[in-house]
Amino acid sequence: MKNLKLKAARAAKDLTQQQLADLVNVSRQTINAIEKGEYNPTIRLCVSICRALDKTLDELFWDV
Amino acid sequence: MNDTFGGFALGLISVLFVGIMVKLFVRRRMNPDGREYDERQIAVQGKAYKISYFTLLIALTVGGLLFGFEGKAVCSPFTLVMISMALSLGVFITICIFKDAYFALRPQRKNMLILFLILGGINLFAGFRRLGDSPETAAVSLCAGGLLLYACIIIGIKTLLERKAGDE
Repeated sequence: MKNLKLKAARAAKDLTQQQLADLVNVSRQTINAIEKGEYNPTIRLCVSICRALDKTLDELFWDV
Repeated sequence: MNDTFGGFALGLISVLFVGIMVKLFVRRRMNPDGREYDERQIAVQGKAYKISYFTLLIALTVGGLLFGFEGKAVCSPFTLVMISMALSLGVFITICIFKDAYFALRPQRKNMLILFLILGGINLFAGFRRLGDSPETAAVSLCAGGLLLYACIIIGIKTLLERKAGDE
């Protein structure tokens, strides 16, 4: 399932996939895979992404 | 084992030794935090290793059976091993490149492509030159050269696909 919340949060911060990838020390393709729903990141990476985008885990990665 | 093959074997072992040392020490110094690949890339490489391992097993089994059933050997055992290894590595390279797990986090893709092209060309040239005199040593050069050029082709296809998809 696509992670549209992540994509929206990234866009709100005016970050490209590459910029976000650099902030959390992963490849751009990994960010792309997470947004497309093709890869489930570890909790460690989820936390790093949340910190980079000033969001909580629930806001980005939890389907309520 | 004649002198030519002995010298060749020594060269091959030396190259392997240098490669392992580079992997263990030089690359570790360039990436002190150990993050050469991210978690997704490591997971993809794990799957690629598994599939290429079974490819190697199947190739060696098929080759061994050919030796058993054929009245005349298709090629020497050493050549068969080289071809099987090349097939296995080819599978590994294909999976990793198409799943974006081949290049490290700070890649120099263009430089690697140029290096692969040069080394591939040199190996193929050397292999074809030796084909008549020493087929076994030629097999190594041809397999290495073929693999490097194959990697260049796969990288090229992947780059074209990425441009077409219009990634952000």
